[in-house]
Amino acid sequence: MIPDLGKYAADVLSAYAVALLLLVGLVVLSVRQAAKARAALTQAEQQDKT
Amino acid sequence: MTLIALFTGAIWGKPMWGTYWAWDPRLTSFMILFVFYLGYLALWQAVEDDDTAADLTSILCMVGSVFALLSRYAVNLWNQGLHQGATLTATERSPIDASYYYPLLISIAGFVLLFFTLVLLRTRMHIRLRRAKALLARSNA
Repeated sequence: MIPDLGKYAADVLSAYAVALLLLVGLVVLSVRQAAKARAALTQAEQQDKT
Repeated sequence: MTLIALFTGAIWGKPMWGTYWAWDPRLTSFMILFVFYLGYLALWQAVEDDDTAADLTSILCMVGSVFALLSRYAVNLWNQGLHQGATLTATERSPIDASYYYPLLISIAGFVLLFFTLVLLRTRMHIRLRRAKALLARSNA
């Protein structure tokens, strides 16, 4: 799948790793914050009903 | 995303140009863009009232959008530097090999989709937070 990277293998793969790490971090952070917001709204709606 | 580009560009720059960093037009304009984004986030966090923060950051965003354009066209505006000219253009056939061209197009499409997904996700999050805040304010009134 990945072509022979030759002497650039370490540079290319470490760039992939950094990019993947930061992208996954961004997505996880966004999903967690979204879940928190949803929970906060559910709680506020329940509190509003009572 | 800007941070990813700066980091991975530096890693790739070392074997290609022999340095992690140079004051090349695109690198410099991208660094300015990154600092602008940090300033945008800092301003958003610094203002306590959400509505005031939204107003101020929207003005800053309009002013700062020039940095995004500057970064995009830096290689066209200033010829000197390490980066080559645009690889993908609407008028000319791309000079890069097909084994790189198609993965590049797929990657661009993937990033655009990720960008819109995150924008929608975070927009919905902010709407929910504002609604929760309004409900709590009404309950406590």
